Amino acid sequence: MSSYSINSVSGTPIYRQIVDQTRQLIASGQLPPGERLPSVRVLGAELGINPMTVSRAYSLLERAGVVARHRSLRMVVLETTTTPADAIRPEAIALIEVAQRLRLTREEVARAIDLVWTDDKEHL
Amino acid sequence: MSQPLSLNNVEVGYRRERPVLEDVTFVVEPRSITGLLGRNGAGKTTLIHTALGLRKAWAGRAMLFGCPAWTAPPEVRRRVGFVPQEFVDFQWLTPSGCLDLVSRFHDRWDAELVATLRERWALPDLRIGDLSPGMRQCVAVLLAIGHRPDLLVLDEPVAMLDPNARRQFLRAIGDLNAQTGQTVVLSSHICSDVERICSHVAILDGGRIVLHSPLDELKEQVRRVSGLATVPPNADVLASAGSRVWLRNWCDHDLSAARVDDLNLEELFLDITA
Repeated sequence: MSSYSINSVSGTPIYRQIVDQTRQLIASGQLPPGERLPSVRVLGAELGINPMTVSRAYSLLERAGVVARHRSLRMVVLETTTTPADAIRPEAIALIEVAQRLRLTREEVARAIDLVWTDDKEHL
Repeated sequence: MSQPLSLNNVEVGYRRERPVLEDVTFVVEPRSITGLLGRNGAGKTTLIHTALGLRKAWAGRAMLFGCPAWTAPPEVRRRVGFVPQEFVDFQWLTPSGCLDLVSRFHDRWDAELVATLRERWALPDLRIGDLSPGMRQCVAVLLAIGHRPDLLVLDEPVAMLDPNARRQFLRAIGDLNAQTGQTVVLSSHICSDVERICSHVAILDGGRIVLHSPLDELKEQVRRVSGLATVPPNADVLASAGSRVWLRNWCDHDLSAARVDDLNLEELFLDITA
């Protein structure tokens, strides 16, 4: 069983969810370098989604240099350049999206994070 | 270039004074899985029947693989598999008998695929008339895909299936499409199923296709914006209801005063077809 969890009704396209979650699995060490990703068919069937969607996600990861196509045609995790912080990359992108819409500066966003970080119970 | 299925400005109906489809243009991408969404009575079945040449368009053009659908020759029809909304044939036969019979009409019959799916769906070998509606639906699907059509059209295929059977069935469709590159068109009113499996989505409303897009593109480009004082001029508005609008290319606009939410297909569908 793989560790992916797909929300089909989310506004985030399914291929994007697979890309993000693969990066997270690599960043957290659950997918170490050299590990093979499940085949497109297997993952598609397991998640009950269109295998073409899985294929699209894998191609993006390949282009980003995160995985490479092995001779067996399966994708292999490359020697990693990801850091643990990459695990929250999607959330960071979403936060920046909101911040830019509200015309907040980077410093203001950092201050907001600091406030909640030091004293989370007060601010939640 | 011949699209598997295309409708251009099609008008058709049952009573002259009231067409069901007024002006439908709908061109299906080869190799796609396209979900056709519409409310009950929107004309999904009429659209499918017209596209397959089971009903003649009053005006406009309905084409199958580049041939007029109404007069398509057998070699074109052979490339199509169709699962009707309700399967009522062969009630007296068992699934085995029925599949055996139908397979003899085709020179290209994938018995292995049929056997694999039968096993996966745990189809009991009772008289078809005694099967549950869901099981009958599975028989209909097997009959439609055994000859490995290039285009598979399913009219509300999952409406009668329980959630497990639905998930399993959609999985099989996705698997088939990936393996064979077969184009799939399925009508439904269950948005989450369409979102799970489809590459493209189309919405039929008011006798027209009001939206047709790759699903991923829709999710990336469209946002629900609430509480906007004025809609920006030249904004691409897909639908609106009260103070909320659905904007395409939302990035191009200053939305700092508004609330912006991700796309939810069901909500969009409700607002478009309200």
